[in-house]
Amino acid sequence: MTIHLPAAASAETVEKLARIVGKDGLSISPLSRILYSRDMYPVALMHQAEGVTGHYPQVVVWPKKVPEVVRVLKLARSLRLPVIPFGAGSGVCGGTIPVRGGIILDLKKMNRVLEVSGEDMSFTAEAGIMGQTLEMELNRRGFTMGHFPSSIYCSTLGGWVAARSAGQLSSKYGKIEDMVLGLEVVMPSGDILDTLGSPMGTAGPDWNQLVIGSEGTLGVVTKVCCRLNPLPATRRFASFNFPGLEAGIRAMRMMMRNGLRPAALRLYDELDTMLVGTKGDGENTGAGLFDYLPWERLETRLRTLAPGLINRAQRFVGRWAEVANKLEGLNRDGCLMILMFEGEDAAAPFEYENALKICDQLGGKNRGPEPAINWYKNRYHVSYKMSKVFYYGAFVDTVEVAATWQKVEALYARVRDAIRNQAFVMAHFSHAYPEGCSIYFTFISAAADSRKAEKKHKEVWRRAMEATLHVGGTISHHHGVGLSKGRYLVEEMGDMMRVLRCVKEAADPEDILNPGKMGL
Amino acid sequence: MSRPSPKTEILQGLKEIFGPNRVNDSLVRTLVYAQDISPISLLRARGGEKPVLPDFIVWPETVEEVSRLMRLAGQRKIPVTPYGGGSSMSGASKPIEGGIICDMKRMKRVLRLDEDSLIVSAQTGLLGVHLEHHLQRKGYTLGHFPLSHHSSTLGGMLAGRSAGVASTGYGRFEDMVVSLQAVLPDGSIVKTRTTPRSATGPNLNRLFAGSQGTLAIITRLKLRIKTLPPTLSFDSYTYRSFERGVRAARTLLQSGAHPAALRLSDPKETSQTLAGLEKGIKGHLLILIFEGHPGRVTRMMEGAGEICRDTGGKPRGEEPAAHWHQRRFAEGYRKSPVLCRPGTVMDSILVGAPWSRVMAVYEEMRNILSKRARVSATLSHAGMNGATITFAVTCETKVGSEVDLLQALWQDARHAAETAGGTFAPQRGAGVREVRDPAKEWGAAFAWYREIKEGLDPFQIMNPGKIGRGEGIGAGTR
Repeated sequence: MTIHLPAAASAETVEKLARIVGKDGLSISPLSRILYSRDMYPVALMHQAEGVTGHYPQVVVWPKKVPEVVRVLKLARSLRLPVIPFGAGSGVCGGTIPVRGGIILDLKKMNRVLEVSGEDMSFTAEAGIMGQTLEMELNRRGFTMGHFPSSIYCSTLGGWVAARSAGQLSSKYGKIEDMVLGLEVVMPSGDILDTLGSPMGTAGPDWNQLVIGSEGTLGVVTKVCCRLNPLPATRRFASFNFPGLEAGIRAMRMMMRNGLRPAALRLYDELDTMLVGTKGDGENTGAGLFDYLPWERLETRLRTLAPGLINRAQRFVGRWAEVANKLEGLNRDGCLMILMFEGEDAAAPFEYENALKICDQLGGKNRGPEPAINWYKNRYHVSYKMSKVFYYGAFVDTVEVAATWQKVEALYARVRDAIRNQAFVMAHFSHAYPEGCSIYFTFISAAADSRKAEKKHKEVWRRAMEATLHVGGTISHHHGVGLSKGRYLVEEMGDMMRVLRCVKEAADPEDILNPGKMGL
Repeated sequence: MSRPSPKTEILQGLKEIFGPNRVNDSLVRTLVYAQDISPISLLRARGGEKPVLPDFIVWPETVEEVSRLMRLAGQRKIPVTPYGGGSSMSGASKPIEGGIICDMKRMKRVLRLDEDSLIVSAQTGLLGVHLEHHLQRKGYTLGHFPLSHHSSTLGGMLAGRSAGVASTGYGRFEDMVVSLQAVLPDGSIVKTRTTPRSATGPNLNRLFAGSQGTLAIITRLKLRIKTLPPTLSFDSYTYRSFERGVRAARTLLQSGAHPAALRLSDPKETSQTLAGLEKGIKGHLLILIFEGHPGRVTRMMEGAGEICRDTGGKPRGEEPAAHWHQRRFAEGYRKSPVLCRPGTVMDSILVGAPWSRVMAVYEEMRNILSKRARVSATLSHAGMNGATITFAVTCETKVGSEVDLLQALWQDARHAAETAGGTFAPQRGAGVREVRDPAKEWGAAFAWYREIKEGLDPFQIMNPGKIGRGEGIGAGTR
């Protein structure tokens, strides 16, 4: 297979960049350019399986300090070269794909923890630090950030800020936007926006909240100050089976309404419950489906006996996924809810007792702590199982939307109905707030070839997004917009898109930073 | 035949939109709307200085009327200043370039109460106290109680990033906003989506929060509400020093206790707070208010009590806290007579700081301000990471030189806050042009802001002369 790469950055540009970051601080090697041509956007993964991702950076740059970022931005601006800030590339919406080429600005070498203050209960770190490294560093000092996205091993602090990330324990600790106290951001002009010195806020608009979620389109986040939490002294787990989704959702809502803040609160729909229940690891990608059939053995046999049958088997996967939607009729357990409370000694047990009371009153059957403990143990496994699905020629993706409580049930029904004849779909409800929660749909499907798979994938997304917008939900709770949801963001925002464009043009009149994203 | 003057034409246009009764250009009306209650403009008024008068006041009742108003103003290039309760202390609602005052107080309907999602939707001209009454009748609360509760509107609270006395428990006003509807300077009606959270770009609610009416007129807000707590409990302690009180407050808030309100006052403030309470309590008073379900409140109060005693606090029971709570909205009104005394200067300066710098701010501000004025301090709006200290300053000077003295005090305050690592707090939003400098306070964000303003309001008709033009935060006076 030959990959035809477009031209790399010119020798002159490379020379200029090398003067800023040194010769070791950049690369135009084909390998680097291919590696940085995609994130974890499933369509990009499908393309990669075929050997062509389509969009390649002209050069990858690894700055080590803020003045280098400033100079790279100034140079890029003078050369009209796009700059795509890059963390660890775990985004699933194509947010870092260099659709117009340009410079990938990988911040991972800016990875120091600069300050940890127990007195202020805050820390400041450089944006390129990896999530798990940061959390371990904070743990060593007796604190936790409380931010546990399933990508924690492969995402950076800056990436979290860029995409308005949510961790698995957000019901207690909040999303990243609730944690940030200050930022240092290099603006496209090369000016440095610095709110680190005013963690209690200043007059005027809250600039942190404009940068958070901007997905690298407004500035390059270089330092982040966030609040800290003490390491929890105690933890309590519980699980319940509810007769149906409605009762389970009601229980979630009542907990939040009554001021309880479970660290984890997840409710699985009937299909998800079946798979979780059988697998017992509390999280699945749909890959679990494949474990019921001896695919690997079957495939090996087929390869030797009748290679031509492989494609037909893969096609069968797609069909089977559709049939699998009907499995919920077999579900006798209703919907599983898992709960985890953590925190200070006095509060966690108190909240736990109250949550148990609410679940009991609403018809939940206590299943003890095990399912919740199992979930907790396996909570980061989900993302790493997905490749298996792709291996079988199928594809898997997740849609995370959110709505107020009044619309949550309609959102669930609409989205599911919209895509269930295209894909096997299951869902769980998590990230609860007093005013609503998010729904995390996992869908899995397959098609005869990658072109058809891509088409089907797009169709599923179109249906899911349109259903979401119709109900009045938001098209993303924590994955962001990136490349894949730009057009739906435009629909979600309506006339307010004008304001977002204005904010963008005010910061980046030449459209240097991460162009072509977020519907901008 | 002579052409009608532009002013007559505009009046005619306004009457077409608002009818004859909701447009006014009488001297009495325009004089009333020329002022807010920022000390510097009050001092100027007291000195006999005539403020810039608006040309017209209009009272829209629908968002469509606001939209038509903005289109007319755009055509005529005439300024529009959104106006709520006029209780701003920053000059934000002063029509310093004349034009039209858009008084939002007739847009005061509660539109919808979503009891499942705990969201109330209301027009922005509604007074805070009226919304709160409406909610409490139905068993809910917004939890936002600024000292101007009886005289400020929802729109004003957003424009000025208001913080209430229960901000420790409920957050600041902008934290309560789920979504908003606004009319942009070109008349287009825009809204943000009502969703618990989302990852769909920047939170644009926060662009309008704190924008002081310079970017748009906010016409509707959806706000997070809470169920009315069944129990309200008070407690108080006194400390030998402010520092000990600060340590207690910090330890308590970082321990996971969640008081709805926490307030630490120095002895001078304490004696004012406790005026009328025959107890002879002196010292640095820490007031705590807990609310919620009885079991939870009891548990939190026990934990907090232990911390307060361990840090050297002397238990003073519930009465001092209850006394303050009962009279909390009267504070602003008690000060008015003093403000009107010629030769007297009075203001309050709010400085926020992370806990590690709170004491430095306290010391530095008191040292510097006390050279010119009597200073008292109250710590509030506290959280896990820091707190705000309100410095109340009072001093006497020669009649006629009050404004100069006030400006000098703010200059001192700026210097002291900077030295100690504090920042002027958002909720005293704006401050006056002579003493607050957004280019300095916001750094690179200021250039960004100006470009955004330029993009949304190319003719500079939205509340001109305020932050947008870089002359200062809030209004100056001319």
